Amino acid sequence: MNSESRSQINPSAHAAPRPRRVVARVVAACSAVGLAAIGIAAVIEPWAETRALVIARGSGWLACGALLTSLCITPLSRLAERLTVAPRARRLAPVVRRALGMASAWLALLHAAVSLAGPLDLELLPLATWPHLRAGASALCVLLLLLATSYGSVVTRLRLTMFRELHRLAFVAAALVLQHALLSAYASRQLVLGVFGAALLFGLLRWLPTKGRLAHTEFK
Amino acid sequence: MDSPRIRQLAAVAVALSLWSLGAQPELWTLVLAYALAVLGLSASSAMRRLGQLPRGLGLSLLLLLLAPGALGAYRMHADFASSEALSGAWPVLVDRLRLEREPAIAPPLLSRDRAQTFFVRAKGATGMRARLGEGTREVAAEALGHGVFRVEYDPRVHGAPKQREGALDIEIDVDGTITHRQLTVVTPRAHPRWLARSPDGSRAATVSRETDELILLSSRGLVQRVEVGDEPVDCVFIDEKRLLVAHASAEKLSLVDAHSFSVSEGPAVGRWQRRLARSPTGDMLAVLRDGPAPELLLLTSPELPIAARLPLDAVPQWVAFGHDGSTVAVAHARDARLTRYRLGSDGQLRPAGELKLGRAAVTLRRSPSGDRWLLSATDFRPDGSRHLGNHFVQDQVLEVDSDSLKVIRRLLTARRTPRQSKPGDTDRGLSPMGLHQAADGSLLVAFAGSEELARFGKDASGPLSIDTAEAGIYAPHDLVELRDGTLIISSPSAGALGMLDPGSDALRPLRLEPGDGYLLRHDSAALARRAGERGFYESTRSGISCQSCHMHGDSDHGAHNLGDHRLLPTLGVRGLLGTAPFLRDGSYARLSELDHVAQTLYRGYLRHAPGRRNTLALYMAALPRARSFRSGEARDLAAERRGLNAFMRAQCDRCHTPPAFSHLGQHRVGNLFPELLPGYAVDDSLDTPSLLSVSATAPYLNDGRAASLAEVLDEHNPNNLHGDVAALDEKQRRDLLVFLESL
Repeated sequence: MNSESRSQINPSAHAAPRPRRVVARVVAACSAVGLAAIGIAAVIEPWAETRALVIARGSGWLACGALLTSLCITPLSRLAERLTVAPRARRLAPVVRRALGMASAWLALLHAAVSLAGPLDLELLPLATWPHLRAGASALCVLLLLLATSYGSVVTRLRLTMFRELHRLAFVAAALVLQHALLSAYASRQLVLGVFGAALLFGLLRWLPTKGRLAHTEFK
Repeated sequence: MDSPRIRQLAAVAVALSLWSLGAQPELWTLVLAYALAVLGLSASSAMRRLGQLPRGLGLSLLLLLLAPGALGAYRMHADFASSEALSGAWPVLVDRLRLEREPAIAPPLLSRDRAQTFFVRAKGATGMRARLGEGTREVAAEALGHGVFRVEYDPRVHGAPKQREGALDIEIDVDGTITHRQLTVVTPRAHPRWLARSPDGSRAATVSRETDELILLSSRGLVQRVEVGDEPVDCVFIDEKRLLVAHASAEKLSLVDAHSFSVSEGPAVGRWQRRLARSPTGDMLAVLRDGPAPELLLLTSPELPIAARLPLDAVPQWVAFGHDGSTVAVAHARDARLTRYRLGSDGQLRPAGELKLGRAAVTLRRSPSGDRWLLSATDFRPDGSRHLGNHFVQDQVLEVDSDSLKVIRRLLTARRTPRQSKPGDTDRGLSPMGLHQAADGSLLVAFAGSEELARFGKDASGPLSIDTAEAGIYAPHDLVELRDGTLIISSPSAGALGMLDPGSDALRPLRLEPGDGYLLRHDSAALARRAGERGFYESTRSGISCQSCHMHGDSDHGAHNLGDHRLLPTLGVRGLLGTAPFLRDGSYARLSELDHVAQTLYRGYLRHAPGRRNTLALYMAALPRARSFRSGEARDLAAERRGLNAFMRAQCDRCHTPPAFSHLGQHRVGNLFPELLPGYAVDDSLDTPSLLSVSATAPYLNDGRAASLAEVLDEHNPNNLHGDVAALDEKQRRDLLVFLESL
């Protein structure tokens, strides 16, 4: 599989290494800042139970935010380009989307680890029997699968010709996260519905008519 | 014909087919099937070959591939929704969103017949007023701090809303900004329950708590309906001319003249009046009080001074005199016993023996001479132990000798008639409630569960049974025989009394409320509740009804084995509206889903009633929550505010979130009470109960192991996981208890 055909599979594979690295670092830095804020919020909590919960919930919200933002990047870039705010936005979109998607997987892994060690007391059975925990675990598995297949070498080895079809599972992961949050004990339903509603509205911009020809990094 | 859409369609088709082959209708299996389909199609040459086919043929092949998968998915959709907790997600979401909206108000039910306390959460607000519907005056709320307000609403003071049923638009004024919210308003109709007979047997009387009236009857029919003041709960004839009426929320009893129907104030005995009784000779009257300080009082007739009073150690339910004015029996609910008290020559009441029942008495009456007490019960275990049988109910009537306190006759009433086909099914003698010993010594029993009236001969012959439902007397509660032999039967759910003529055995209804036909045309909500109330008392073929354990919507204070080999205390079913999901583990999203239990586990109902599951849910949803033990009392607002501070400091609000004092979520048993885990699975969950009226719902915690709220905070929180109580000092804990009792 040469680089041309690989770029047909993975849109961000074509992007220049430098912007990709920069974007990845920016996303990582943002995640770190978010995690630090959660850590501070947890430290100032006087009760150990709440402390563990703050970390679990905070990391979950960060992962959810990264995932939803990554899903909104394409429609937002189209909007930005259409409004001529950022004419090159669509070029950067796959790179940002990839970085956010990968960050969401790592953050989801962190969220799962923290929750398992904290509120779940390392018990695995509830992951299979509680619908919202099962949904969360399923979302994590999907995100990890997508994370693994975000690397060119893995794609090549798997001879993954249906990259885009596979990565549409990101939408399923978002649905699973919605189920996870809506059925959980603590998450504010208003906040969950508000965030996912906003993401859905942005997602509808996906069908905004494109301006001119598609760039070659985009799929038709 | 290779295109992104075709490839996507192929992936979906293969995934659905794979998914439908498996027996796991869950989302994760669908995701797995899709991932496998994509990876498989990528690795194989199928997509390339598909691309080489003509477009029409390729599409047809894909549709053929899609069909079985789609069919399988359709077949599994109900199981899928159930396993993913989606089938009941909507009502739970609606209830939760209602509580999250600022300002939020709870409980969401307004019953037009009684005073109620509402709580409002409006973060950051300093002042709040509420107008509970058109036709009511504005109520100023008390600020408790942390954005929590209390609204004490009394329809007698603030007016009842014009709207009688349905969604009620209310206004909440928070710091000058008016927000509209909705409550559900209900107008309960007359409910004649317990009957009293005049000493000469010429008249009978009953009260309707919902409509604040006393109803006087004779063998010719209705004599008079008399308005007697707020929440009358029981009545008794002092003599032929006067009646005494007890009120749940008043300090004083009421006196009613049986001829002029004038009402005057009686002796002050304190609030929480519950039952009244008259001695056979009429020289003494007994008053039973429940609430925070249960008490038995004796009044001397005719002047009615308090002759004796005795604090009781457990929730009392019924009182009846023995053969003289100095012997009284009290049926206690919580520890299911019948205790006899004697009035000593020093004027003191003292316990004088007890009979363990094992299950709370449903009703207690005395024989005309007082030598026997008649009890109806759902079980009898003289050793006082709990029955370990799964959902065990054995309806029976006991005759207890008032001298020896021994059961001299035990009548198991449930039986089957030839119309039942399956072994073990019962259809007669279910849920005995009304008891009356007739002049000829026979025992008359009104069965609420099988809607019949039966006469058991003195020689244990019989029974002679009359169907009461045919005359519109649903779920009969009580009966008395007048001196001319006329039987009067009460039916709260129908809002009617039945009069049985001794000569013709014809049952004639005496309606206090419009019949079903009228309600169907003019008040369908009331008709649905009436049907639901009837269903609440109606027995299933296994002999169990809702009433068997949730006595009149409250708890029977018993503990039952609910099928998981644990004895769990019965919960009351009041105040359920807006608190989905239900049951201890939150496994039922809708009340109507509980019908499934009756239809399967309990073999279905005796009557065919379409829509029962919904009407039953409507009836239960319209039951107002139990009154807090502190309602109507002078409040220590400063202590309550300090208590709310302690509540927040211990982070109780994390789960018991105002204004409903529940966030309606579920938690793992191990997260809260790891010490219970040997008896629970690691994935067992507990639903967060509302703390509204918590003072009236002891015992506490999921298995009733805490007898008091103080025990919940201290003894049963060893790991400090059920609230950060360790962060509170002794004074803060006391304030917290004051606050909890005020809810």
